[in-house]
Amino acid sequence: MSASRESLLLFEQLMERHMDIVFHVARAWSGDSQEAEDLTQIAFLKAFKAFHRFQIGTNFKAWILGILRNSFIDAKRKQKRRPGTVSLQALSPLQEPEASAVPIEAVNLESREVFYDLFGDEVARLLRQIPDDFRMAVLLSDVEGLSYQEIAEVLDCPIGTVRSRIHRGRALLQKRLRDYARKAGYLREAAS
Amino acid sequence: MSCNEILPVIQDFVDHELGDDDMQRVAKHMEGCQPCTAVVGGLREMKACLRRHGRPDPAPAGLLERVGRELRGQERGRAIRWGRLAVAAVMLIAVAGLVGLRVMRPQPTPLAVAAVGVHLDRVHTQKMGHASNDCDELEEFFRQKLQLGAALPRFSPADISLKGGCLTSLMDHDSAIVFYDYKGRRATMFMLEPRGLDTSAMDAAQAASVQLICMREEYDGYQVICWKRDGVLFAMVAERSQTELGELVASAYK
Repeated sequence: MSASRESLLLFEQLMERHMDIVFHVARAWSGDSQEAEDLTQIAFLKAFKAFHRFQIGTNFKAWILGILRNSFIDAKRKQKRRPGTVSLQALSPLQEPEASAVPIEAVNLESREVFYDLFGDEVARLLRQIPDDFRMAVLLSDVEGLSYQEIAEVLDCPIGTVRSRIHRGRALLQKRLRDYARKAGYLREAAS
Repeated sequence: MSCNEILPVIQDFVDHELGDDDMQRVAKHMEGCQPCTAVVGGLREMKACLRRHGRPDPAPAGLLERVGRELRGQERGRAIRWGRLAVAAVMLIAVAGLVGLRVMRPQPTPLAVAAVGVHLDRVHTQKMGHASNDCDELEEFFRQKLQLGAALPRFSPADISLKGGCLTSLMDHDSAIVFYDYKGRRATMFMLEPRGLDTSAMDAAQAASVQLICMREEYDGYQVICWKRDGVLFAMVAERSQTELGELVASAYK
């Protein structure tokens, strides 16, 4: 079998294995299914062109998601649509909030189960309200199961920034979930 | 460790980002500390909640096929360009009088060629008749659709997993095609009743050698292994060595 054919078959296997995660992350970035499909296709085609530079045995997931991120930034740049609404540029450590600035609340153990079981669609809706940098770090960690190192590679930022963004994102989401639960009457003030 | 020492690393603990020793130290602290346990509980619930509700649907069914088609289209374009160069090179060699040099290669049998062809076609189309990891269920599927009563081999290595099967045609014979994941790569097995096919050489080889595997072939970089059992012809295609494939097949009939 020729090297290019072998390479194509190997790439197709990797593509099949990573199609879902690439699509999920593309949708989380773009917020639109059709755009996510296009981004997924662009990312895989770009990755195949550069596949000779990929070292077999290293982390394909982080590699393809990094290409997806760059594809997304390129697409946004071309569209020039409402600049500033999507902030993917790595914040400098000075701009990054301190991890301790927003503490994660200790949740009352008795109310916890009820609290989290209330949310289905609400989780997705409230998650979308979190600023992109924090939201993507939380999604990559908690939904897609990436390690801090992998997230750092995908988002092209230091691990410390990843840690800080995850902390901040979770704290913001937790606050929104609790506010929603209180407003909807699921959580009494006394239970908080 | 005190609570003040634990709190800065509590997130890393929940995310399994600490080293083994630190993980154990924090876990030990948790055994007797209600406030820290509550914080960890909150974080874990949050993660579990996100995992449950944050994951959208899988990628649309046609997306993989669409991107695959595009990839192959680009690859074909590249192959055509290289092909033109190759033709030019061959002509040069002919002119130079080197046509007499020939590389002798064993000719693959039509069965191997057909099996590899369909295996590759599956890569193109991703068609799945019946997705299942249950041998009994797939046997019933083939019994209903093909009136094929043969048993699927029960491979024993842990690194092969059944993915599903569908109906296909191999050398103009209705045939069952079964898909496996074998050590992270695709393996394809065909089952067909060899009506009208001359399998006398295969029968003789199998009888003489008392070996289960009666045909080992290589075509286009793929290994093809064939055997016959209970009147049904089996052919397996994979990108693994013949030895590995032989051991795999033998594991099913021990």
